[in-house]
Amino acid sequence: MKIDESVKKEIQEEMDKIQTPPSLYEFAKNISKESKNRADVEKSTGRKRGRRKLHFVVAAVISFVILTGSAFLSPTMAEVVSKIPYLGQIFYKPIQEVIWEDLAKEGYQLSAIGMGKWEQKPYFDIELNGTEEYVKQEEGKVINILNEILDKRGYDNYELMVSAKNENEVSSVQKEIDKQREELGEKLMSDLEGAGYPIMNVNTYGPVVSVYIPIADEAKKVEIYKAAIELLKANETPKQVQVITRDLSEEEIESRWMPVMSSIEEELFLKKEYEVADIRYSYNPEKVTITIMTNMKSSDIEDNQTTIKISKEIIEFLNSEEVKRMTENQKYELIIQDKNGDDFLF
Amino acid sequence: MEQKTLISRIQKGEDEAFAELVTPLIEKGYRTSFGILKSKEQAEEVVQNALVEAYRNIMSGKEITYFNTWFYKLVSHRSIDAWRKNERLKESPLEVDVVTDKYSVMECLLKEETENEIKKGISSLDNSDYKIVLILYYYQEQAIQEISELLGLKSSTVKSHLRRARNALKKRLIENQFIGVNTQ
Repeated sequence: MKIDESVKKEIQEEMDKIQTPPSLYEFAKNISKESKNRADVEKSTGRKRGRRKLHFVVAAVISFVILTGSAFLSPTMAEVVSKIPYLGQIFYKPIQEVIWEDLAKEGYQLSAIGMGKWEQKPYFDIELNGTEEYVKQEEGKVINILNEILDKRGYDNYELMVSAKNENEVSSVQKEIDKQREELGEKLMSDLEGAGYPIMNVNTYGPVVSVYIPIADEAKKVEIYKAAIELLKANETPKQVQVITRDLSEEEIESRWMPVMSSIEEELFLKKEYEVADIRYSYNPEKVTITIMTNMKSSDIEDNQTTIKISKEIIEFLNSEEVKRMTENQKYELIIQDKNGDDFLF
Repeated sequence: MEQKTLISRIQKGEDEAFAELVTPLIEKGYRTSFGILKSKEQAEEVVQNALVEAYRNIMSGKEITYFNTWFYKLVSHRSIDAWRKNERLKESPLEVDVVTDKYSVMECLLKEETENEIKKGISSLDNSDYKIVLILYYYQEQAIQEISELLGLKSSTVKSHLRRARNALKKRLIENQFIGVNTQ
C-alpha cells in the first residue's frame, strides 16, 4: 500500500470513530427557528463582547422589552440637538421607536422589532402578532410603510423582513441545553460567592465558561480561576474557564455614551454612501476612542471627501453642548479607517 | 432529490427540505470540526453555526453551485476560525485551562494499546498544524492551494507538513516491518 493511501486510511478510520451528536440532526430539522433564535442571541451577546459593541443592535434588543417610554432624550434636548444637520435628526427618536409607533398608528400590533447586521447589511425584522397567513397578506403594506419611514431619514442601506410572532421559537432540545447551562451558571455563581469571591457574573452559554470579576479584585484572578475549575469538576461538568476582569468605571462611561453611539451607528450603518463596515469603541477613563472602519479607499478623492463629511458631522455632533453634558465633557478621539485598516487624514 | 429542487423548496419555507439537504453532510462536517477543535461542544457549535449560515445564504438567494463542497469548506473555515480563537486564548495561560474534551483523535490512539503500529505512527505527530493539514487534505480532500489559503500558510509549508507526516508514518512502518518501502 502506498504511504499516501495508508495515511488516508488511518485518518479515515480515526474520523469514523467520532460519534456525531444526534442533536445536530434535530437542529437541521428546525433550522428556520434555530436561525431566528441565533439572530436574537447574536444581538444580545453582542452587548457583552466589548470593544466591538453595536449599540444600534443593542437598542433593538432593548426595544423588544421596553419599547414604550424609552428614556432616550427629553424633547427639549431633542429640539436643540436637532439643529445639527444629519446626526441631530436622530435625537428626535431612535428609528425603532418611530417604526413601532407608525405601524401601530396603521393598526398593526407588533410583538418585536429585531435590528441587526447580517453579512455587512443592516436589517430590520418586524414581528407582527397574528397568523402566518395574516402576515403574508400584510407584508407588502408593512414594507411600504417601513420604506417610507426609513426614506424620510435618508436611509438606503438596509433589508426588511416581516414575520409572524413565533410562539414556539426554541426547540425542546435547545430548551434542555439552555436549561442545563443556566443551572450550571447559577450553581457555579452561588458556589463561588459562597466561597467568598467577588463575582459579578458567570456566563455558561459558550464553550468556555466566563467568570466576571471587578478589576479591583484582579489579584484573586488565579485563585478564582482554580476554584471555578475545581467546582466544575466536582459538579461533574468540567469545562474550560476564563476569568475576565471588568472595569466598573469603564462600564459607567459606556452607559453614558450609549445613546450617542446609537445615534452615530444608526446614521452611519443605514446610509450606503458611508460604506461603514464596523464601528468599534474603547471606553478608557482618559479618552473614549471611536473607530469607524469603512470599505472606502484612502487613495480615492471622492472617498476622502466622504470621510471629511463623516468626520465633520460627528465632531460637530460630539462637540454640541447637549452631547458634552451627557458624556460629562469627556475627551474623545475619532478614527476613520479605509478598507485596509489605514487611518484617513481629516 | 436534486439539490437545486431542495434549495428552492427551502426558499419556500420548507425546513424538511433543508434537513434533507444537510443530513448526509452533518457527520463528515462534525467529524472534521471535532478533528480540528478536539472539543465536542465547540465542534457542535461550529456545525450549528455553519448550518445556520448555510440556511441564511440559501434564503438570501445566494447561488451555490456545489452545495456539498461549499458546505464542507464552510465547516472547515469556521472550525479554523474557532481553533485560531482557542490558540489566542491559550496565549494568556491564566485564563484558560485544558481540562476536558481536550484529547485529540490522534492522541486518543496513543492510549489505545491494542491499536496497531500504523496508528501510533500518525499519533506521533502531535503538532496541531499538522493534524489540521492532514484532516483537510486526506479527509476533506481539499487541494493544497485551498489549505494554504485557509490556514494562511505558504503552499510549500503545507506540502512540507504533508511530506513530514508521510515520512513519520513511513518510518514507523519500516521500523515495524509492516510494509516495505513502497512509497511514492
